[in-house]
Order: sequence, then structure tokens, then C-alpha cells
Amino acid sequence: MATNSQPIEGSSLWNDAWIRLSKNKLSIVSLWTVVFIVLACFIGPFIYGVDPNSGELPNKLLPPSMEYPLGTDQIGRDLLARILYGGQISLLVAFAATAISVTIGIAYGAISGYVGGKIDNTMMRIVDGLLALPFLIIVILFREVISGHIETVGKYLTEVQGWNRDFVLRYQNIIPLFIAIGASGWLTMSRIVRTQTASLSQLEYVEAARSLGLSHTRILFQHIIPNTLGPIIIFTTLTIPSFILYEAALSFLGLGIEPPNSSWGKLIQEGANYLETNFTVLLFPALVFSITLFAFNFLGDGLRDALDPKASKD
Amino acid sequence: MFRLIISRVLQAFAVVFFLFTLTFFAIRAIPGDPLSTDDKSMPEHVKEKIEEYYGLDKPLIVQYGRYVKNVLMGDLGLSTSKPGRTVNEIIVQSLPASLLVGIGGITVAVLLGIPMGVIAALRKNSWIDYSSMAVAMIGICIPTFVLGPLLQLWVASKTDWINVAGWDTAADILLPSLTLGVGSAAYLARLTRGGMLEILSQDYIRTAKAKGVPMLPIIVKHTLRGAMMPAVTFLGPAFAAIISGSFIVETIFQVPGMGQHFVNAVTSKDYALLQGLVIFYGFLMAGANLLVDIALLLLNPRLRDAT
Repeated sequence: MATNSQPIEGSSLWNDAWIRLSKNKLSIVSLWTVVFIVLACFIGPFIYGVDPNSGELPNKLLPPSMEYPLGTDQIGRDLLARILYGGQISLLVAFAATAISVTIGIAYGAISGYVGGKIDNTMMRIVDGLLALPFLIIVILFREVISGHIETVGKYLTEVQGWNRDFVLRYQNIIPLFIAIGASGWLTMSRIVRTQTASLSQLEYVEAARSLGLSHTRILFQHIIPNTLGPIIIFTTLTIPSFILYEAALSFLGLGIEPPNSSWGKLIQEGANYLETNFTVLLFPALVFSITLFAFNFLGDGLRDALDPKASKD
Repeated sequence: MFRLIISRVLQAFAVVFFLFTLTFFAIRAIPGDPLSTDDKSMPEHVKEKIEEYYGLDKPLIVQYGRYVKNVLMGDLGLSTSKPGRTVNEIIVQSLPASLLVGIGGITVAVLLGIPMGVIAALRKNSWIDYSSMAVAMIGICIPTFVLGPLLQLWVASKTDWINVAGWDTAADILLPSLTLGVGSAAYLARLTRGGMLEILSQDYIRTAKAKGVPMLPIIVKHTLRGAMMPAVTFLGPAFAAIISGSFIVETIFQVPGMGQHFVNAVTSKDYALLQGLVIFYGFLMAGANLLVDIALLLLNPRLRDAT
């Protein structure tokens, strides 16, 4: 991201955008909230130093106290440590899935828009077809297919290569989840990139690049894709919270994160069982979860206003 | 316009067929088969007999051909996790509950979201506008699986006449519908507000105002029709959200609907049921998108001439 230095010889798009963004208080608060939550989840556990997996049954479902800032869960584990640790997995799954979906989306959309014609048409019809099913259904199907294969690999690693079983099982649970979410979540991104690419490749500078004899790959990656970055960044920021949400929904249904792993969705599901007697077990994970979603969404809205001032309607 | 609708119908069928083929091969790409999950001790000849019964012993392409033929005749096959029951039976039995909750959810979304958006737009930049948009943002960010349990808690502490979960009395539809509809209501409110604001700033509205037309006819006759476009477009995705949401809502409130069967089909690796449900959902979605397209054509004459 561009820095906030004095404008030299006019200001670039990124500079302008940054200035507009920093004027939007809500977005800046959201940006700091996101930074804080990410740091808390990934660095916080080292500072806090409480094991999220150890607990004693007599200490179960305690209210917040000096010893347990957010209380304890149903088997006496420290809730704050579990929220931080669960956040790691929630965020990791969302980030990894976003990386996958953005990569596929850009490649697919750029090729479709750049090549044009019948290929473009077919590629976009495929996207339309996949968009016709609810996203959650596609993810669940994909996850089923991928887990089957990952399990085979996991078996090989533990039985033949002698890897640590717990370690393998842990990742056997996480990897199919983010691959499935990422591999199904690129559809809208590819549409956005395609529209941009199709209109950009009609422009004169691309024609000039072509007549200079540059290769298609170079034109695409150096001259077209960089110009579509604005919409890509906006949509990526909005993709992350939606993937956090989908991971949580899947975990809630028992089709996502499973013990010994944990995530915000899993914590909410566990908390919901003790709702009537111990409200805090649901409240705190749900609160952190919702604040994260809020922050990402407001940041995305702010980025849209900053990078694309014309598009902001309300 | 009639020709346009026909082409949309054909497209819808093509989409369903594409999804059908995709899921057929995707499901069969999963290592292992529906019968080998738990019973590793099953004798070989028994297994062969069962495979023959379900048609799993034939080559893939033959299975596909047979399946296409069966589905065209309306037969979705046999469930493997619930022996002796057909997928058709299961869908027919669980459809009413899902349908009721889904219709309830859409009703909540429309009755809550559209008036909220209209009022927010009419009182633009007032506290009503800000507070209803804030409520809408909360509605978007609080997922069904948090809202559901919270509603349960609230109901449990306040009233006796609504059950917290279950599917016995007519009142049992209230909580699931509310949980399901609030998220979509929030989106609808935002879209309606945006649509209203755009139309209200048009010249013809100003002309109507200048001619002394009272505000109510202006809204009802001149604004709503155009302002509904974004909201109607959203109803397609909203329908998808309602289906996905129903998985969660049915789990929370123990509604005996299709969502539960879908989740069970995945966990018990009942691929026939899974695929049957996917096709069914595909059809529902295609139908919903078709209705949205037709509604848009009716609302906006310009679309009719375009293609």
C-alpha cells in the first residue's frame, strides 16, 4: 500500500485512495480492528501463554475471573486461549482459501476476457452453471471429494513414512476445508476480472503492446492485470469475511473443523449447547466472530469508496 | 418476450443437466465406495450382491446412462444409508417442512426488508435512516448459527407458547423463519434503499412533485416499480442463501427437512441421496432464477426490447 508522503508531481491512484481511506473514520477503525485481531490470534497466544487444550473438569463453565479472563468452557479449558487459538485456524482457513480463490479467479477471468469469442463464452457459461447451486452445497461436495484423497495421502504418511499421527490427522481435517472453500469461491472474482480484462484489452495501449510483438503472457500479466487490481483488492477484502463465515457454518454443521482442532465456528457450536446455563460460552466467541466480520466488511466498503469513488452509491 | 422466456427455460435445463453430470462424476471420484465405509468385515460375495442391487458393479459410463434414464423418468434411486427407502420417498417426506420454513424465511425477508429500505430512503440521512441501516449491517454480520441460539434463549426466558425446538405445533415455524429471513431482510433493506434513492433523484419524480402529486402516489405508482429492480435481482441469490441457511436452521431447531438429510447424506456417505438432493436443489434454484428473470422482464420494459 502506498505511503502517506507529500504528493510529488501529482498523486498516484494509490496515493489518492489512501488519502480518501484515511479520511473515512469507520474504515480506519476497522483496519486497526482487523490488524489487532490478526495479531492477537497469531502472536497473542505466546504472550498469554495458557494452553488452550489443557483443562480440568472441576473448573468447567466458570464465569470470567482474574484467573480465567473470559471464563472456562465445558471441560474446564480457558476460553480466551481457545478463542485466540480457534481464531488462528478460522483466519488461516479464510486466508488460505482466499489466496486459492483469488489466484484461480484472476487466472480464469483474465484468460476468458483476453481470449474472448467462443472460449470466453463457454468459460463464462461454466461459471454461470456453478453459480446456479448454493455455494455451501458446492463446498460440501468438494470437501467430500478432496477429503477422500487427502485421507489416502494421510494414511500413506502415517503408515508408510511413519509421520506423527496426531499431526497428520490435524492437517487432514484443515487442508480439505480451505481447498474446498477456495476452489469453489472463485466464481464471482473471475466474473469481475473478466469484465475488466475484456474492456481493457480493447484499449489502444494493449493494441500498441501487441503490435510491438509482446507475448500474450506478458501483455496479460504486466499490462492488463495490474490495471484490474482495484476491484480485485476490494473484492478480496470482502471475500475474507465471507469465507470466515462459511468455515464457521461448516464447522457448526459438523462438516468442517473437528477436535482436536478448533475454530470460532466450532466454539460457537459448542457454546450453543450450554446457552441456558452459561451464556458466556456462546457470547464471547460469537462476539469476537461478529466483530471480525464487521471490521472486514466495513474495511471492504471503505476500500470501495476509496479506490472507486464513482461506484459508491450510498 | 415469449421467445425470451423459452430460451431462459432451455438454459435452465442445460444448467441442471450440467450440474447433474458434474456431481455424478465428482461423487464417484471420491476414493472408496458407499459400502466400504464401516463394514470392512463384509464378505466379498455379500458385497458383490449388494453392489449388484444398487447397480454399482457396472462400468461408470453404463451407470451414468442408466442414471440419466432413471432421473428423466423421475426416479432418483435408492438410498444406501437408509436401506429400503428410495431417494424420492425421502425428498417427498422432508420437502413440506423445508418448504414451509423457506417460504417463512422469504416472507420475513420481504416484509421486514423492503419497508425498512423504503422508510430509510424517504428519511435519508435522518436517525431513522442511520439506525435502520445499522440494524441491517448487524443483520448481515450476525450469522444464523448465532442468531438462532440467541432467539431460543430469548424465547425460552419470555414465553411458554413457542417451543425452543421441534416440529409439532404451527407456532414452531416462527423461530426458524425469523432466523432464516433476517439476514436476507438486511440485504433487501440496503438494496431497496439504494434503488429508492436512485429513482427519487430522477427528473420525472421532480416533475411529479412540482405538479403537486401527493407523496404517497409518487412512491407507490412512480418509484417502487423501478426501485424494486435491485431487490428483485437479489431474490435469486437470496433463495440460494435460504437453502444453505436451512441446513443450519434445521439443525438448530430440529426441523425434519431436507437440509438435515443433506448433512446426514454427506456424513454417512450416502451418495445416491446426496446426488438426488443436489439435483433437486439445482432444479429449485433454476426455477427460482427463472421466476426472477421473468419478474424483471415484467418490471422493466427496456429489458424486453434488448434481446
